Amino acid sequence: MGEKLLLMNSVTSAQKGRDILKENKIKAFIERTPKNKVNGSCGYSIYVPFNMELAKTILEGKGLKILGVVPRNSE
Amino acid sequence: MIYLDNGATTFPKPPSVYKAVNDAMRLYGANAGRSGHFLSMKASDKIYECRKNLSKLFNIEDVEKIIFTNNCTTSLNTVIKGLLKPNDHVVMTNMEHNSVLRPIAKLCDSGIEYSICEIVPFDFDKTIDNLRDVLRSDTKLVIINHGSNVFGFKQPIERMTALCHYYDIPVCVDCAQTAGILDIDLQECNIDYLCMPGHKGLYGPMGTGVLIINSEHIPDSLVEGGTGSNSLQTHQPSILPDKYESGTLNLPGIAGLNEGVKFVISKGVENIYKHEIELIKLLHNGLSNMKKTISYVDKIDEKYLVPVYSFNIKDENCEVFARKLSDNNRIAVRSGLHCAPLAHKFMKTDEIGTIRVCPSAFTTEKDIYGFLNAVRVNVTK
Repeated sequence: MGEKLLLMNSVTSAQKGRDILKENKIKAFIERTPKNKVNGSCGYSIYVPFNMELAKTILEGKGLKILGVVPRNSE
Repeated sequence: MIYLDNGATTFPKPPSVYKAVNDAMRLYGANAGRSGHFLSMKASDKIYECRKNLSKLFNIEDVEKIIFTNNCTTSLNTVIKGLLKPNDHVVMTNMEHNSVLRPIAKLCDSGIEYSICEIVPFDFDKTIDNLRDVLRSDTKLVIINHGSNVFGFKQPIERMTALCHYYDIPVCVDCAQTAGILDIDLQECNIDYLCMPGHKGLYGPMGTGVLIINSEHIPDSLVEGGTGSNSLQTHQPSILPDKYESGTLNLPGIAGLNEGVKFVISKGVENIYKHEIELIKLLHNGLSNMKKTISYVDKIDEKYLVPVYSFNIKDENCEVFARKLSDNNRIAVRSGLHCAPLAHKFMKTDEIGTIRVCPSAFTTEKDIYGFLNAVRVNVTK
C-alpha cells in the first residue's frame, strides 16, 4: 500500500490539522494535493508518515473535515 | 516631532514590524496558499501564525473564522452588503463612521431601512434603552461603534450584544479605535462580526484589516476569485476563510501585522489602555487650564471613554490651528470632520469640526507636555 495523504479543504484547515497532530506528537507535513479522484482538484493535504488512522481519528474528533484519503503520488 | 494622530494610523510601529515586512519581501516573498514549494509554504505559515495570534488576542478557537481584508472599511462592507437584503431593517448608532454610514446609504437605494440608536454619553443604561426602542421584528443586523473615533465615547458592547441576541439579531462591532486597546473576548461577549483595521491599535502596516466571523449567519462574499482551493469549481468556495480571501494575500502586510499583534499581546491590552488613558487625563487637565480651549467631556472617566480626545480653540479654525501645530512645532494631529457626520451633529461640531489627539503605546508624558506647550504658544500668537 502506497503512502497516503489526508485531503483537506483549505491550506488553513491543513495548517490547523498539522498543528493539532504535532501537539499530539504525530509527525505531519503539509503538501499540495496531486490530482485525485476525491475532488479531482488542487488543494492542500496533510502527509502523515506514521499513525495515519490515529491522525485521522484525532482530526475528526477535533471537528476538522477530511475530504478523503488519497495517494501521495498521483492516481 | 510629536505624533498624536494614532487614531488614524499608529506611528511609529514596533521595530519587529518593520523587520517582518522587510523579511517577507526579501526572504520569502512567494505566493501564499497556492504552491507547495518551501517559499510558498513559509509564506502560508506566516499568515497562519498571524491568524493564530489574532485568535489568541480575541479569544476565539477557530482560526478559520479570522479573515484578512484590506482595512476595517472592507471588513464592514463585507458584513453589511453580504448580509442585508432588500427590505431588511438595520440599526446603527449615531457614532458610526462613514465606513458604515455610506454602505448603508447605498443599500437604502435598494430598499434597506435603517434606524439610529442614539448613544447617551456616560450613561450605558440610557444607551441600552435607546437601542431597545429602535429594534424591530424585521431588524436583521445591529452595527455598534465600540469607541467613537471623534469623542472617544465607549459603548457597552457586551450588554448591547446580549440585548440583540435576546431578539436573535446578529451584531457587528466596529472596533477601529478599540482593537488592541480594549479587551475584547469573543467567548465572553459573543459578538457575531468583529471588524478592525490592522494599522491602528494592532500596530500593523496600512493595507491590513481583519474580519472575525463568530456567527452561523455567513455573509455573501463581495469579491470572488482564485483561492488556491477547489479550483475545478467555478463557484466561490463556501469554506472560511477562503470564501472572503480571493486573490493574493498581502503577505508583507500580514507578516507585519503578526508582529504588531505579538507586540500588543506582550505589552498587554490593559497596560496599553492604562498608559494611553493616563496620557489623555494629562492632556485634558492641561487643556482645561487654558482659557480658550473647548473640551467635549467634563472629565476622563475610564468606564466610558477610549483614549481618543477632541477639542477646539475658541475663535480658531481647527484646520488652521492644526496646521500651525504642524508648521511651527512639527506636531501631527487630525483636524476637521472625522468621517463621522452623525457624531459631529450630535455634539454640535458639524459646522466647526474638532482637533483630535490620540496617543499610542509609544507616546510619552513628555510628548503631551510638549503638545500642551505648543497649544499655549500658538493660541497666544
